[in-house]
Amino acid sequence: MLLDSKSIFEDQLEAVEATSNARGYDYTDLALLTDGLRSEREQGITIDVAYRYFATPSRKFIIADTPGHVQYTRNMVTGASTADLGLVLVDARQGLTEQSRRHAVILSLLRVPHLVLCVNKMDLVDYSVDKYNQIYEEFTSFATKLTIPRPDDHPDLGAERRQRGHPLRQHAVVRRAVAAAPPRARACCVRP
Amino acid sequence: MTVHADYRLSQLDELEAESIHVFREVAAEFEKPALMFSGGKDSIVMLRLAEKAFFPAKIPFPVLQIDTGYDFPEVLACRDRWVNRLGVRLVVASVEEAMANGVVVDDGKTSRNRLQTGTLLNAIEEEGFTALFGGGRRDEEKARAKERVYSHRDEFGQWDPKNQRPELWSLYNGRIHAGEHMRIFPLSNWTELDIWHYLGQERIELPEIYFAHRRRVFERDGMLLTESDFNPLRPGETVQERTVRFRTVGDLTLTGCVESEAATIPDIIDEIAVARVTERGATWGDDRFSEAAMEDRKREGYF
Repeated sequence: MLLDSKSIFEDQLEAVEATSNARGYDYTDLALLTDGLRSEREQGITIDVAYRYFATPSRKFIIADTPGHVQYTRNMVTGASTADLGLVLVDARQGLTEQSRRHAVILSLLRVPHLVLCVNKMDLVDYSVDKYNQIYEEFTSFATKLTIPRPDDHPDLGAERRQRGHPLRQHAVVRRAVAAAPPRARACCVRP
Repeated sequence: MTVHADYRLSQLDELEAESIHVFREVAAEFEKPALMFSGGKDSIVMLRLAEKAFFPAKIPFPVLQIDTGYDFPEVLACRDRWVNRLGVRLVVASVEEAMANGVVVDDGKTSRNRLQTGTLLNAIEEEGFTALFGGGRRDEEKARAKERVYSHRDEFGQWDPKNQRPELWSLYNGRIHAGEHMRIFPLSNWTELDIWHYLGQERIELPEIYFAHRRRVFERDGMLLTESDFNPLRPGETVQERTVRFRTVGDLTLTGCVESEAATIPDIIDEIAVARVTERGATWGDDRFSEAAMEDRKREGYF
């Protein structure tokens, strides 16, 4: 999202590319943009919330990139508490995990008014329609138990479902966020 | 038909309200707060917000400045005008004095910017400050992006980034033990662009060096540094006069300027809106040494 909305500065991207190269990756590891602490970069995990900022022509966004690991859930809560929109990322290979459910429950406990479930890494399951539907169904039945103030309001999920089988394009997430949010929006993004 | 007024705050008003809330919380909660002032645009915005938070009363805490001895004269002049207008107490801790007293050791290799850490921690201990406002913003740098608004420092002034406290909604935990202190970042959620919009909106006075001017500069490590007696030229470096401005201010020997024609705040906003390099990337010598340079300095107790 940050990259697509052109919010990454050249020197930041160069630094991330340099680190990725130094570690022998043949790709640019964009997670290094928000994993700013030494131990996070060493272990390749997110420990604490990182705040990032980007803007679309109509709104300014604050993204709280929060850890998914169970032992850092308390840091995820810090990031989620001020959010207007929660994005829970699900790895398509693993499906809905205990942590995904836990995060959804926390977001609903904190009364975060909007929740987007993002099925990620669809390329690694060959864009399997079945896999996507399975996660979708599983989460919809689970979500009926949550108190998300506007549970019926999922216009984009419907649209995404119509073109299912396609990877969830990242700017679709931005569009959804733009539709949901007040002039200055804080989103909490939980990565698995 | 009645038209209802829109009571939603603009995003600048919302940021301002959040920061003012933080200032009042700290003033109510801590015994001895102080505002760390560098003379840069962020600390000037902090002063303005503190002024608003307590108006018409005076700001109920002193302003602490670390004098590196290499500060821009324009910045010091601007600081004095602010301090006089607001009538706040100014505490200056000098790096040179700290070196003379043996508090910090100048080995000739360490920059004045780093020596500030020891000087600052010493001043905090001497004055017994328990909370220090800093102008750090999360959009500045990746280690700062991780920091809480209330950021705990142990008795040695160190930050432990792996063990930060939960901070939910606008509830801040100000509990500290004797000898420890808290760093407070009221501008956490502001971006560089927000700061400039606010400076424009409030018509805030800034040091002249933020605006385009002619200056004798030379190039070092891809940065344009100002010519000065503190900063002797190395072989192969030549001085040229160019039209420049500073995006950040700090130690004169390390703060680079950028070539620019932007002479007013709206010009600067236009320039930043299309900038492709962060302000630190463009202008800070000290962040270039390693990928975790800022985190390491912050762990030691830097701003």
